[in-house]
Amino acid sequence: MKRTKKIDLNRMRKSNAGFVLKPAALGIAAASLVGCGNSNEAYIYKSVDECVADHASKWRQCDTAYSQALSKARRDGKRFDEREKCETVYGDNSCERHSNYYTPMMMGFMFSPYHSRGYYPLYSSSYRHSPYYGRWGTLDGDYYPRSTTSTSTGKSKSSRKVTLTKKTMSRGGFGSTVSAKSSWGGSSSRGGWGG
Amino acid sequence: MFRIPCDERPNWRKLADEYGFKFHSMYGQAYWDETAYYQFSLQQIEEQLEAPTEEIHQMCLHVVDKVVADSQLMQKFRIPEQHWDFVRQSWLNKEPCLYSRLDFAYNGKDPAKLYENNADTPTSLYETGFWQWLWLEEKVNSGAVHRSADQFNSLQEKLVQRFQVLAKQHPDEILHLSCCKDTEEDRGTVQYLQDCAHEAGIETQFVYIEDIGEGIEGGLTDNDNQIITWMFKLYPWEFMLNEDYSRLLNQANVSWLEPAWKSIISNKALLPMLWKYFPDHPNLLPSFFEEDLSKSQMSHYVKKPIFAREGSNVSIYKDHQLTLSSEGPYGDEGFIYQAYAPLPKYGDSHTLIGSWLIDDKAAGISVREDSSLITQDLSRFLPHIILS
Repeated sequence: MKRTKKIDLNRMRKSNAGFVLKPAALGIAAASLVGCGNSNEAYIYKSVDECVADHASKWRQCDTAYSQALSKARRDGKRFDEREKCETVYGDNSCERHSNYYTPMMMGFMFSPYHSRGYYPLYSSSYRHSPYYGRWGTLDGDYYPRSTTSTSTGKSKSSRKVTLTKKTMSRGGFGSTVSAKSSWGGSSSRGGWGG
Repeated sequence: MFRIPCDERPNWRKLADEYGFKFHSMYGQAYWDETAYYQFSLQQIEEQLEAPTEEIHQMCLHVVDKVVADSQLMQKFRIPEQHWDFVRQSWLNKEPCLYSRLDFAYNGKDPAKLYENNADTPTSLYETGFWQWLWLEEKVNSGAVHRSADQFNSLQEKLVQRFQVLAKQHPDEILHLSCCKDTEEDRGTVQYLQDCAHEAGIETQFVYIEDIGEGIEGGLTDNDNQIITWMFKLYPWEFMLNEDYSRLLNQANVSWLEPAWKSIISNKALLPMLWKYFPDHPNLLPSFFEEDLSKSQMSHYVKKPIFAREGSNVSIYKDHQLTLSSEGPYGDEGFIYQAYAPLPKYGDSHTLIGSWLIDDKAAGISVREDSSLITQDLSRFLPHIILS
């Protein structure tokens, strides 16, 4: 046989969603309708379990958000040559040793239910003079208020909805050739830039 | 190879809606055309299209290897000098590729002749991989086409398999996919690739080319300020390398699909280089750079811009006299000259074969018809079958 053996037609069908609208985009639309969501919505969790408690259908994304944040913390976390210097900022028993340096341990992570976005490890400190005292902070020094209550139902209450800060300086540095070529009056064109 | 008129499926437009195939008609003209199909023999497919497709791909890789090592050739290919190293490194690092489409003139008897290699941003992927596959499935089920009919079209299967291989090199990484705004056809092509990537277990995110950002910490970002690390772009390298953000390419550290070395084989300068390294190959047409045209002794030839899309700015010369040309915005970077070998004619239509590659494996064909000798973006796409 010289052709694809089997295609799951149900997976190829787009009748309700339309061709361009993605499931992720639908999620936003639905959330916006009830007035409680936008594309910048994100939550802070201390564990994967907390995340799954709020977003059961997205357990895989919770897991990815956690593990990616963890590896980012290990890779990009601030490095100290002595444990004490690290703990002065991040609190007692909050730093871990690597071969010849110490980094703070990730205490939480950020999770966005509607979009896969960057992975952000979060820190918090019990040390009163630390910038992380009583709040969550990212590697880049963005801070979010902290709440630690949880309920007996197991549903997480520690989550905080936050809006991510701007991490982009400019946009539009690609695509200029297209507007230049488009101005050549190709009115009969289907308009694609593939070939 | 025959052209066989047939009835349209009465419900196909409704079906197209259901499956999200939105660009089957454009500006009131049919693009998807099932009032006829082409029939090939298995021998025609395997010996005259499949095997040459894989062989030419290897020949193209040979040319890439020569060009990246030679500044004069990089100049001839009009790769901007500040990006020579970027393109060269993508080749030396063996950055993996996804797909290509070779365009052939083929009449069912004589060796297929390569017109060009759409190795960077080929479209008509969805129509080939899924939509004509579905057409055959339904035609066979309704008894309109013989049960033993097959199709040279393992495109979707091979795409998913290729994504599975690439996913192993990018564990837990998000694949960003991108195309320009305001083009339903390109967005549809990218959506199909997204679907295939999902099938392979890859998490994806879409961003328009025009919306890509420059991150504060360097690198490229999407609409959510997320850093892009792995990206498919349906946008030509020859555009990207000349635009503002090309200054970010070296430090952005993105794994690109297609990789930057594809800028060499999607380039029409490939054609004279192929002819130089593989003269008289049965599937090649004699091709020359401008400065070698007089030595070539060709009198019937086609003048093509080094960079061009959808048959723009192509001119046909017979006895050195211009007989037909198409308009367009290309040509600033120079031209190449290719021996004139007209497309075969079936009825009133000139027929072009697109032969697909996933990585280095031939994966199927698409058949397009145009009322002109120069196939442009208003050509029609017809399905095909194999019946021996």
